[in-house]
Amino acid sequence: MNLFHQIPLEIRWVVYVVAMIVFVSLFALFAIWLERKVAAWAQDRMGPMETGGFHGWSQTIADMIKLLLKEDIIPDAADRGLFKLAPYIVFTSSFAAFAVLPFAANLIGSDLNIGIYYIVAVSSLVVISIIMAGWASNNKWSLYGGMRAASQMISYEIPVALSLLVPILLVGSLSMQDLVKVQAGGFWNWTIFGNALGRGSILQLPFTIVAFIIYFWASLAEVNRVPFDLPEGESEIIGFHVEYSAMRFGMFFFAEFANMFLVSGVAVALFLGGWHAPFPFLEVSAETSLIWCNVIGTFWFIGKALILVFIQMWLRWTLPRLRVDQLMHVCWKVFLPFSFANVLIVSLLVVIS
Amino acid sequence: MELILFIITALVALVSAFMVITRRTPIASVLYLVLTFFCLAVLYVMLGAQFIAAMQIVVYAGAIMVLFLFVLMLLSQRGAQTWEVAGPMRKWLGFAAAGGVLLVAATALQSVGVSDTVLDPEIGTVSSVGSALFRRFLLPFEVASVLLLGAIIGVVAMVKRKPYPSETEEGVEHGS
Amino acid sequence: MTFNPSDILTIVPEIAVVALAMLVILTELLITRRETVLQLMTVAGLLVVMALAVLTFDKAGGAFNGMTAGDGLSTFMKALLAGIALLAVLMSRDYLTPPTDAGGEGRGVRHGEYYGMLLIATCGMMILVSATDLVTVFLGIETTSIALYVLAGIRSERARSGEAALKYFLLGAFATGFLLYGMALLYGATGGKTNLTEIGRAITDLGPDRPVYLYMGAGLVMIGLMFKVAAVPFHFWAPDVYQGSPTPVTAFMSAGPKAAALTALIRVFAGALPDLSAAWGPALWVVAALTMTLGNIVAISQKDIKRMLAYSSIAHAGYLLVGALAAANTGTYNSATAGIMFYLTAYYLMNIGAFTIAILVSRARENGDYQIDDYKGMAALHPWTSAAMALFMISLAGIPPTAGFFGKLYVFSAAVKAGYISLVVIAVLNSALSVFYYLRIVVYMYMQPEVKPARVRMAPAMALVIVICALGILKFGLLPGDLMRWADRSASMTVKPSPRAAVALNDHDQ
Repeated sequence: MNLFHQIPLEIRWVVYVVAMIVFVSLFALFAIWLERKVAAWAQDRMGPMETGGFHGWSQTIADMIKLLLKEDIIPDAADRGLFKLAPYIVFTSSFAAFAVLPFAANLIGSDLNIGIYYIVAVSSLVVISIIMAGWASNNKWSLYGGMRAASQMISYEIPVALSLLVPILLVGSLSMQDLVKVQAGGFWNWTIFGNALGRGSILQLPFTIVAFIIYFWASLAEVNRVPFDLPEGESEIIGFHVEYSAMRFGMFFFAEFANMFLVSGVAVALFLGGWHAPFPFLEVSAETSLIWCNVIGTFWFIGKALILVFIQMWLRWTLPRLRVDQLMHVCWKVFLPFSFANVLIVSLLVVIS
Repeated sequence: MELILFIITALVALVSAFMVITRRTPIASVLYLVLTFFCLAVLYVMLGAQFIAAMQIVVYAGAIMVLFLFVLMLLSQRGAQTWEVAGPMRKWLGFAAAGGVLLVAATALQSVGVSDTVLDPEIGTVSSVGSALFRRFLLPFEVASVLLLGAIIGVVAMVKRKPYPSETEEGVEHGS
Repeated sequence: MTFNPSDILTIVPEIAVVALAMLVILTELLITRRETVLQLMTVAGLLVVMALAVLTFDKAGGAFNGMTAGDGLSTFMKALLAGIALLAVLMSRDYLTPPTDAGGEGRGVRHGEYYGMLLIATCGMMILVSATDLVTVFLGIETTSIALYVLAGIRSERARSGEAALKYFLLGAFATGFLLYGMALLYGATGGKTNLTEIGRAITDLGPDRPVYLYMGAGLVMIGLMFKVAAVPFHFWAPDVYQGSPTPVTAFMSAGPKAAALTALIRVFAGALPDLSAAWGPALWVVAALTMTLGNIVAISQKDIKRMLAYSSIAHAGYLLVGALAAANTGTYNSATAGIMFYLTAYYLMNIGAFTIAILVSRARENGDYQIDDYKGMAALHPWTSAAMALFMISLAGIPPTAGFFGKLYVFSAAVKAGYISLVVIAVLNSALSVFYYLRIVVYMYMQPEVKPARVRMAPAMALVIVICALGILKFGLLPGDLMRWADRSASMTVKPSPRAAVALNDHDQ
């Protein structure tokens, strides 16, 4: 530990950032393979089996090489600067949020005192880059796609933020680590089951569960997953990235998978105990071994997040897509009133107890 | 380190602010404005006002600028839309107005001088912003909510064409 | 610095108005026979609000850490504003639901939303009249303005209405910019103060070497407020907006926001910046003189009664500014403020009365316009309506024995006491000038042959408005004592202009 602290802060930052990029890349590679496997499973087929031998594990790598080698087409009429810039901004804004994701007790980029609010802030920048991409393509269909995506993401930001307020209210902090730490000691202490700071958990139980459900559904729309995948709608509707090809198109995909992990990670940190194990005996305390405490914590955090990612994929291959008006209807007339009521009741409970 | 960061951020903020007013396409102006706001947020962080910084990004870059982009894209597609300043007279008037504002700001700042008081490190945290908002500025906070409520109702009242919906079928209403 | 539950007492009228607004909007969704019920509800609610405003009369001093004051001035103005909203609501329903054979005036407006916006505007004005802090001044102005932008354009099917809303909005937003920039400069110049009494104290402490941008700040705030009062040269929006807006909204707009902004003007300039009066006094003097002169001269040539009343309202703003100037003087503060309160009450009654009759006459026309020629020979057909209109016109001109006369009398005598004799001479000359165009309508009604018979159909609510206005004008014109005493008492219980005296009333640690 002392050795660790002797390393200058700047170098630690750089190492962490590089580690995160490697992690996100590996995750994206894995998740794309997983998505195909889940799709195959849902449709009763095998999925990729050839590339790399075991269950086509290197299929994504092959695809990525293909994308890298493909011709990069920029439409003549496009606004070249913005067209090139947009995919990177999408990825940057979702990657920036990883800085405050608590992987383990000591493994976090920066435990900002506004951690969760920072995530909400930087992920709101995704909208701008999507509009940018749709507009810069100078194609009316990608413009429509961009508008659709922007209106959807702006709308769904509200229920997401409101349902995130529930754990924040219960814990009384915006710091990610504070939000995780109160959930120690077994899964019955997780925020989703209403326990925070040992306050009357049974009363809060229904509201925290509702908050979690609203968060999870609305975050699907935030990251444009089925059943809310209108902005992309690769197969039927033309989306904002219709003019993109080669690795620029790949960047959008990359960002989408990074975002999937991000929203799952936030859900895990705020509702599902973060890096805490479901049972106390499965954890290693920091006093026993600092290294193992963090390794085990990371294992639980990533494991739980991967389960949520899997559920997202599962939903994608199970549910049909919503129509655009139904999408807005669900947001403004179902999620929004429920999350408002939820926040109101939880704040009352906090005030009373 | 901090000084270098400050200089870079300030320079980017200034350059992008200049780009906002010199671009011919409104969309480009708006995007540069987003960059300016982003740099301002970084400056807030350096002042220790993290919450204000996040607020700056959520409210300005994430909400208001997106609205601007939305409106601009709804109005027309690219090509036809460039700023046209009618006549050199107006351009100089604009410069004069901007110069006047700069002059006022300069005189104001010049007489304030550099303060050597150390800022309270807690000044930008959530709790200090929250306690200012809910103690000293409780009434303005509530009035602001009435203001926003009025604005929301007003927009709906103005946009709605039909006095009362005759057909209440969902699809028809949303489609229009 | 902590929250004091008894502070809520000072904002009970505001809370009641907002609650009423939400109730009306929600009720519209639930009930079927909407129009009458909604109107009755709003009227009953506003009566309660008026009662609440009067009941909280005795609570003087600041509340909410000096953000707002429940003093005499604000209480009087709150009751008055509720009254303005009340009459505007009473005249609205028949305007919005025209007889089937008339032109399509006012179709396509949801009544609940309309009343809701009216009430939110009223709430904003109530905040504004009781504001003792720059923050609340700004929020009050914005709440009022946004609701009024919507009300001006609520009949989106008419191009005029949309034009009015857009003009009002664009110029209003511009004026807000001035106001905010001025406030920011005041904040900086006084070392981070927003409370009006604290600003006054800070300026006194600055002594003679005041920074230039303090004056700039005061000037910009003045421009912002002048715009809301529609004083020359910031009046350009007023005629178009008044003409294009739905007529009940015009009536409401010409009485309410003007009263509220004027109160804010008195509070900011007489309350916080008396030390700078050497600078802003002459400016206000010129503005007042220009406002009444230009308003009256242009009003003479108007053919449209709404435009005529718009210019007349500009002129009246000029008279009121004379009072505001006198209120900045410590010696005449009480009498000038009381005079303004009386004047505003009288102006509201006669103006709303005149607009109501304008609606009735326009409804009798197939094309639904507002030509002054339509009034020719009206007296033969409708003696009572014409008599009421004549009364309103005489009162607007300021001829005794009407409330308008006493309003002018009180305001001008306070100004004479404060030493603005030449300004009062200009004001009196202007009043004489205004007689010309006000009495022209009376002459048209009684002494001209009928051109097109205007069959006015009286609606009960409209009749009620006219009767209330006429009786009020006569009552305050023949026996002005009660109202004047109340106004005097209210004025004497106000946070005073002298910053030193107000410190004790409104002291709190920063």
